[in-house]
Amino acid sequence: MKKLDEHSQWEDEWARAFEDARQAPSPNVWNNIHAVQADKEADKFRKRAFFYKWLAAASVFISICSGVIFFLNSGQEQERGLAVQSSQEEVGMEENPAGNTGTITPPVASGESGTIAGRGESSGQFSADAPAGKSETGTRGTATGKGTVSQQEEYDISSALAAESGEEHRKQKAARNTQKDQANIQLQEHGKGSQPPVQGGGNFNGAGDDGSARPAAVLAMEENKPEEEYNAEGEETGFVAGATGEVIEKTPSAGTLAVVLVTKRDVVALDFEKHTKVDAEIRKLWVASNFLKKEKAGSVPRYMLGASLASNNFNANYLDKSPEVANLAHSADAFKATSLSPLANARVTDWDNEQKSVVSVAGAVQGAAWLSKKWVLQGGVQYGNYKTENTASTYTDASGNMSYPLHFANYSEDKMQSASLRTARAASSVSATNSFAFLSVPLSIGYVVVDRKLSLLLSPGISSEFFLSNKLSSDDGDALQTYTVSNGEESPFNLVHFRGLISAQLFYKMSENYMISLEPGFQQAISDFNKSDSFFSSRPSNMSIAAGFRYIFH
Amino acid sequence: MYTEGELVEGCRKGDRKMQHELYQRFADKMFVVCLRYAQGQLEAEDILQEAFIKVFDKIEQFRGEASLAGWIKRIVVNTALNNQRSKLYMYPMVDVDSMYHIQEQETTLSGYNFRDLLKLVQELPSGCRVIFNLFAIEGYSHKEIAKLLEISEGTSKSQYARARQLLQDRLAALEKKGYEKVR
Repeated sequence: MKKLDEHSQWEDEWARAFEDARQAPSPNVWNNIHAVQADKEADKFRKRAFFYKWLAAASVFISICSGVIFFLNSGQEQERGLAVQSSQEEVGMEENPAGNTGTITPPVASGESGTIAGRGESSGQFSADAPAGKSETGTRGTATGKGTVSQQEEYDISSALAAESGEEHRKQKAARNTQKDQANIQLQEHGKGSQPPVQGGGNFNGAGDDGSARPAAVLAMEENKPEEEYNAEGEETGFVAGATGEVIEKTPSAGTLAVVLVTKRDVVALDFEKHTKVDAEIRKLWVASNFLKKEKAGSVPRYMLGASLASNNFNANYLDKSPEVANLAHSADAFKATSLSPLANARVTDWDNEQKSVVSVAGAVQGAAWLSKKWVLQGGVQYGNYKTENTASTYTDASGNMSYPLHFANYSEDKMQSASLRTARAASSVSATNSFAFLSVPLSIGYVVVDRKLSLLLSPGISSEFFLSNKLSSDDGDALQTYTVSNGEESPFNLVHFRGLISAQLFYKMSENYMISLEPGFQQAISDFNKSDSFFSSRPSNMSIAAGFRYIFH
Repeated sequence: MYTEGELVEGCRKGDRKMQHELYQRFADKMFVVCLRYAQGQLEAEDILQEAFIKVFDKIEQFRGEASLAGWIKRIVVNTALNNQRSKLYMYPMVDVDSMYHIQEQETTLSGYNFRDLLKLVQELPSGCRVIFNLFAIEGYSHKEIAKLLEISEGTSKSQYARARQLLQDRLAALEKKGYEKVR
């Protein structure tokens, strides 16, 4: 007798009988293979296209942000007031037509690029003695200081005066008179908190040549008169705000020492009659408020509330926990056949079901608190129902002849119904919509990159995702019975999982208190969405873009 | 006529023509392998389709150490096994340490073509059929089969013994029928 575990001649005969055996399969086999390969190729292109699409969108977004930042930064240059000079120089004294002596010396700017906008960030110095600080509208004041005219080159009064003919000057003066009310010249607050109105050097033409944004009158100090404040428009004194190149004239009165010529580079004291340069100390300077930015004290926002709607591209990122096994049979095999019914002879093929994101909408309410000028703590609550399109393998319930998705049934043994070999072939892949409802509680810390009318925040953070429900359904009601999963012991999903998030928030300030926002963002799960005993793993990701509005509390 | 190397290279690049060429070269032979494991033509075609999809997916992994036909056959057999795996639990398994063949007289197969033999194999119960194919035709040992199917060696032996007995009975019946016909 031979042992059955040894190969004998009988086995060899069987092997030889099949050695060269051939039989052609039906043409359908190749057609199906061809279709699957074509789908895979198309999917590869789709994924590449998806990647390049997002890359293009990101590039456009970065370009826009860069352009906005550049624009805003360059715009700062145009907001500065009339530059006077950047270095000091003594000007010789000349005989004063009024017989008085004194010095009227144009102010000197330190050369720093402080802003007349008065945001409190300016470091411009009117002079070494002058305090720097914010400007405030609606108040009067002076920026006082001493200084001398810079004479980097010989001052050509004639040319400066010739820039405007008398006729033109008269016309412009008349125009200015009528526009006096509109000029809205503001005074700077005297003493602490005053902001030097002018700054050294630079190009101050950016405000335009209409003169509306140029500093205004420089009032000559009258000797023997106490320092007085004059009103913004100089009405009491007859002085009128002037534009660059204007000779500011005044009806001569006793004690008037000189008038001032305001040019592009200098504020020069001139003899009233001869219009020659005089050594005069200009002690008061008014600045047109056209380029003064109104800012309230304590203008850094404190709190913010808002709401938004987001368009989402969600992906559950399902994966088989056993990557070496390519189909569901192994996983199904893990069940013990404890029921009387044998396991379903289901037709199971590919485990790696195709998952395609479908655009979904989520709504959120948000709140924020400023920790400092640059750092913002943000939080909120968001509800979303996120959808994906899936191709799911199924099994067929012989009693009801309905198909259930094996994957999303989580292989519950009671779902593995018996099926005859005939009906087993009816179990096939179906396309299903897999939707997940979450309540999210994000928490992030935002860094203020740009704080202008158009602001940019970068916000990394973490979000707690509370799973509410999952539904698997098909448009073809005959192919797939709707299958729902809620929280609980039966659910293959964890109640809570966590996601890391990063977003770029673009805010546009419509007014002091209202902003609209555009926020592209990305989330990636950092903990498992699936329970540890489930037969698959899931770490969802989500790409979103939200639009909303905010109300700011100062 | 393309060489195996050209076919492999073409398939790696995703050349559909080369894929079709490869399929045409090996499909007929592999289909018979599928027919041995399946219970019918439709099931065998499903296995063949799935197997070739895997072949094209994994063609990058073919290193050329073995023959291309042998590599493809291994994929086909594994695919067939995965397809049939659950059926192995449908029948009670008897653990035996060793079993001896009790019938000394073995029927010769010389009078049968592969299609006749294929029919006999397809009539076997699923578990027996798989193990018979693996042992008798593919040449695996019971130890290797046990590891492959995650069963005990004794189970493999008992299933094979049953398959062999059934085939012998069927062959004997066929011979008797033929003899009676002649008569």
